[in-house]
Amino acid sequence: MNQQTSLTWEFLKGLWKDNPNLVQLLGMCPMLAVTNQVSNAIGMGSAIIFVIVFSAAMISLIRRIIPGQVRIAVYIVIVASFVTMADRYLAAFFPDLSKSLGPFVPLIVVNCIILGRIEAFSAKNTVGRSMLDALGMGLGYTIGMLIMGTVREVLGSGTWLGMTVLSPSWYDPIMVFILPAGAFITLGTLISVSRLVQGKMNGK
Amino acid sequence: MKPTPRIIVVLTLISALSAGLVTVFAIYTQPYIERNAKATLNQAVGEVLVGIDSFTVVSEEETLRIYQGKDKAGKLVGYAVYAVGSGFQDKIALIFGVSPDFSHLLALTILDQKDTPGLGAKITEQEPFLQFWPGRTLSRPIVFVKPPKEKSSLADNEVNAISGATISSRSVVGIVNQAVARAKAKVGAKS
Repeated sequence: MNQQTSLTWEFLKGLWKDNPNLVQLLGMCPMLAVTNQVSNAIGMGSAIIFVIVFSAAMISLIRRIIPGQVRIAVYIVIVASFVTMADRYLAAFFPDLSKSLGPFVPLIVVNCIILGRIEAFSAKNTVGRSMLDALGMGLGYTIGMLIMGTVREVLGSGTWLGMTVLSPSWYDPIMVFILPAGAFITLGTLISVSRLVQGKMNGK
Repeated sequence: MKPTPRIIVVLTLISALSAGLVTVFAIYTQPYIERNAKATLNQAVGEVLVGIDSFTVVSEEETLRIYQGKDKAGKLVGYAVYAVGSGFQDKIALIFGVSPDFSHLLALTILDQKDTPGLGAKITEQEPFLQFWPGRTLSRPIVFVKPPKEKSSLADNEVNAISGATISSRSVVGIVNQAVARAKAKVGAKS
């Protein structure tokens, strides 16, 4: 079955049809927790892309020698190694970003989108396909977080990536958008809108 | 399920390889991370002890760190005290400067807090909160007042609380008072 899907589709499906945070609803914790600022969304998204692509490549490369009974342990060890590297890298070169992402970088280890793609895809497909799939999923995840971060930062702080877009002289920021409640409201709205668009595309 | 030799060999190999990779990367990033921590500390101490040229560590504990700052001539400018305590949502980490004889406070800066944006988080801002701290006497505990008074009519141990964020204001006052007492005892014992 996999041989029939085109390589382009392996990449594209993560962006819209199987989008991790809008369709699969996987990896919701960072999606809700760190999207109060666009910079956090970009930082988190990049870390996820790095971890998912390298883990997918590594695991699909050794998929034939991993004993079935201990495969989850092997996945976790490999994912954890890449996550630790990403965490150290951010702490070394982007200390402010690292501070504002806090424990959510180490928590990528247990992010279900990563283990989910590995178990469902990388463990059964070639290195090339796995990397394309991972890249698509990672990008899709990042785009979802970016949209969410944009809505929340613009409405909640009147800024975008730290630049003022809604001038404080006439716009009073709606504080709730940078608080947890605003995350749920934004996520719910985003998912509804994406379902509505999908429904229209299906001609319903 | 019986552990077969194959499982043991594969798991060991993968774990060893991963550990090796992480170790190499950790060694490579270590100096950068240390440099960042140092820069953060330098900046924080410099903010609350204006005009210092160098500082040395007096005591370092998890929730209380004391630094001694000296100017170019080697004269003692004061002590910088770093303290951590409970805030409204999470821990508040702050640093403040005190005069060498612990008679008054020089300046206060909030380093880390997760209190409510727009309310408690205002403890990090000069205008509603921090501007009232420099010069407060330490002969009596600092107290907060609400509703806010004119700056000139505040007693020498009073600071204004933030409207709508009494808990955050009270937390900061509590952390500072406690840290002053502890730091005074520590410094007194050493000299």
